[in-house]
Amino acid sequence: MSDPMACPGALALNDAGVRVGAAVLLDGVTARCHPGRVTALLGPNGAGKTTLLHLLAGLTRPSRGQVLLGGRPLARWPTAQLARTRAMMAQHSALAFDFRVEEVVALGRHPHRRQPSRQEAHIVPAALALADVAHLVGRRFGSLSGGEQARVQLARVMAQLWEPVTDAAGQPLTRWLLLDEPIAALDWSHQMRLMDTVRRWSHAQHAGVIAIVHDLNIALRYADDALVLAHGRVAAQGPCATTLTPALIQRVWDVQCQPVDLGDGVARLMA
Amino acid sequence: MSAVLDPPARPRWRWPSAAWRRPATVWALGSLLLLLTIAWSAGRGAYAIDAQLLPGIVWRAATGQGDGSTAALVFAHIRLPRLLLGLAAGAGLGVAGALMQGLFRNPLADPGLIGVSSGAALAAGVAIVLGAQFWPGLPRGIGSWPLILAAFAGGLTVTMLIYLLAQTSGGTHVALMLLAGVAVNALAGAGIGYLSYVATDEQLRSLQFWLLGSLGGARWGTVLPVLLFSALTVLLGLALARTLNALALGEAQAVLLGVPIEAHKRWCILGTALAVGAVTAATGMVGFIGLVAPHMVRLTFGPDHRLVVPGSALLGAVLVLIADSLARTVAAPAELPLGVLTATLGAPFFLFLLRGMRSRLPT
Repeated sequence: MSDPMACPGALALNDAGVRVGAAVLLDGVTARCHPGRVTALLGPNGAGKTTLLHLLAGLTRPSRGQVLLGGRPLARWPTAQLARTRAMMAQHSALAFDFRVEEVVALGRHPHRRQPSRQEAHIVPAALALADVAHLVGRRFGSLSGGEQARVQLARVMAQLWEPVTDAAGQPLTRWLLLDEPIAALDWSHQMRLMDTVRRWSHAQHAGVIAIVHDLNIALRYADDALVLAHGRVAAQGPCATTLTPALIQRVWDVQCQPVDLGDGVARLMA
Repeated sequence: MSAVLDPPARPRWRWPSAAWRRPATVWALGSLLLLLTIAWSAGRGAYAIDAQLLPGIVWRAATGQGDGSTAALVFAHIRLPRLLLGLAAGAGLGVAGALMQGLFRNPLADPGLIGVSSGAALAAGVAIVLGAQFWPGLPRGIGSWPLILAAFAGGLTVTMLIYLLAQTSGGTHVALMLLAGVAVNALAGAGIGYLSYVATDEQLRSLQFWLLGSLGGARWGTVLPVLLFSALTVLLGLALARTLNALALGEAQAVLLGVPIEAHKRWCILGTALAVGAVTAATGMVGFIGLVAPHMVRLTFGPDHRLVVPGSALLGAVLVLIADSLARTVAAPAELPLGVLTATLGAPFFLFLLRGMRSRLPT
């Protein structure tokens, strides 16, 4: 997996930096995320996680270095094609007008309006069911709780990436799902359910998922890889189980913890 | 994952159900309402035309056999252009309101409130008064091309100014937008005040007309450009409807959904300025239509701009036609200014909206 040639759809940063005025938000970040795997983007508050996600989404241009999708600079990909293959769920979602739940999810199909799927009519209901918000159909988005709103937004980005997409030459394109603290507002059950859903989806569809999470145990349980940021730089990256060591956690978060083995094969940490 | 509790019951059935929330419904209902309003208001005015005579007059006028009666002449030269100007003005202002609210991501953005109308009126006033000194030969009548151009430039300047001022990285700052509108309105009022000192008596009447708004200047020559520009703005609004829906998620999400955001924002600003400029050049300041019409459509059909844009055009036309019918009959044979009427009806509506939003606006 570490061989760049083996992963044509990889999303990579090459010595990327973001600077706003005098503040350096990201500095010399070189990292690579692979399709078919869930990458947990971890780090203390203010480490630059959201900036990095915006960089990968193409919302922020790097002030130095490059963002590469499949080896090609992100800015050189056609926007319409990117819109069909990459979706991002933001940390906060304020809606200017009070749309209904199903209308919000249908907005995810906007990039596909010129090349609709054969299953087009079934996608929104299926995405609503996947995010466990089918019972909210007909409700106004503004009347939902924060966690319900987050799940509706998940349904929307899943609808955006619902089916495999090919380019003009018929070549399959890798889909990327970027999640900025998707589970921050969710109850415990839905936290696990959401992570489980995106993990299965990523593995089954060979799509890439990059999710900012704060709970290291969630990362250990549902993510394949970890990308740890501290002070705008990469502190560590690699498979979760070998990367998230007590020594690293002590160094980055200043928290002492130890691994707990309950014999079920799931790695856990206890502070 | 099984939940301990049963999922809540399915939501109650509400009108309009999803099947009815489609553009065809809006077009059909809106057109019906508009036709009824036209039929109702066509006979009303200082010279009332008997409703029973109207179909005959329209038929003979349409088939080219004028009957030369006073009623037919009043209808062809006074009432019909006035109806069409009202229709064009209402549709243009309604769509301009929907476009602005979509662009500013805020239901309170109204071309009148944030000063686009008064900017257009000030520019038109400058063209009337100062144009007479520098370009004596240029036509300066109500609804003439130089006035439309001036009003368009004024409206465009104000829209861009307010947009640049109120736009922050996270969206539009509501308080900034409304306060900037207060300042622009005050500035335009002062500018028109200065102009009134250097204006001749005739120019003063034109300025007065601008401040209060009226369809009284409706002639065939003034109606056609307004119809053209309003129709263009409606078409632009229909083309931008999906973009405005995506923009409701925020600018970043709209970009991620593949919307060419900067270009579409410019089209929104241009369309608003075009409609408001042309309408203001022909009717003066007619406020609150751009606020009330989109809002009533949203309350009925929800916020989908594919419904809000055509609905605002049709309902805006209906509202202006009703208000103008009242304006010319309430104090007949004298005429109330249209802008006075729309403000009387619209301002309480706006206050009512503010009351409902109290909890959601930042302090």
